[in-house]
Amino acid sequence: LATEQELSDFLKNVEKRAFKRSIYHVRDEEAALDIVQDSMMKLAQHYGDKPAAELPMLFQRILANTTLDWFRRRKTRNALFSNMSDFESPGEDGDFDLLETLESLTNSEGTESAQDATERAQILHEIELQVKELPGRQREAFLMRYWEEMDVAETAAAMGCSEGSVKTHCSRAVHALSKALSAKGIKL
Amino acid sequence: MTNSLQKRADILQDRFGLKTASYLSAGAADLPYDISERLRAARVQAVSSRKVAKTQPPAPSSATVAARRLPGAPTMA
Repeated sequence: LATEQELSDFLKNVEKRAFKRSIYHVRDEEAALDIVQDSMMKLAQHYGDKPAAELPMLFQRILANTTLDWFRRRKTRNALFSNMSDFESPGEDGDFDLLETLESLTNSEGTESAQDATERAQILHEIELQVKELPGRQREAFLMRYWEEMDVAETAAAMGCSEGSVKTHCSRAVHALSKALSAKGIKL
Repeated sequence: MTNSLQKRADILQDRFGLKTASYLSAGAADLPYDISERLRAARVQAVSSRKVAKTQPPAPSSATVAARRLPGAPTMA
């Protein structure tokens, strides 16, 4: 069973990626923080006594479901306030993190030439934009497979679909990203 | 032939995916301080509310159980 330290280490390892993934989905910093916090609490409260090896899969599932819940709540709220658009604050389109990421990337690469750093930041910027543009299921499959480094079977279990679907989603995501980046003159 | 082409396509796909993910990791590693702090606080709060497995009282040893079942067995007191 996972010890307190193992649970803490696991969360520490995944929290930043989880936040970024939530940002790609919901494009709202506060919402992404809420989603990650809720997911951490749910994992700890309901599955804190599970073996450490089961935590990654459980967390991915919880994160996906919590994100889905957020979209459902937002849909309900939007329906409720459809005639009261004043409640919506304008300009929350989520581009804050890109700017901050670019800035921190540029500042953190002391040994890199300024040109290299700028180029890297531009590539990251473009990748993040294109990842956000992917259809939800493709983005989820792609990020689980390649960012969370889960295998096809684990991704399928976390997404609640077949392994064939995961392969299809990943293949389409890679093609879409590759095509979009190539169009911008970016070769990885 | 088709299999080897498919394998090559899979390898190229995986390579592209991992390369892309390495850029994303670099971006995630450099989150602003306030975001990192809020994530840390959320983690600490979650860990403090961790579900702990219920501990059951230790099961009596088989020798003890057998001794209790035997008529006339000596008491454990």
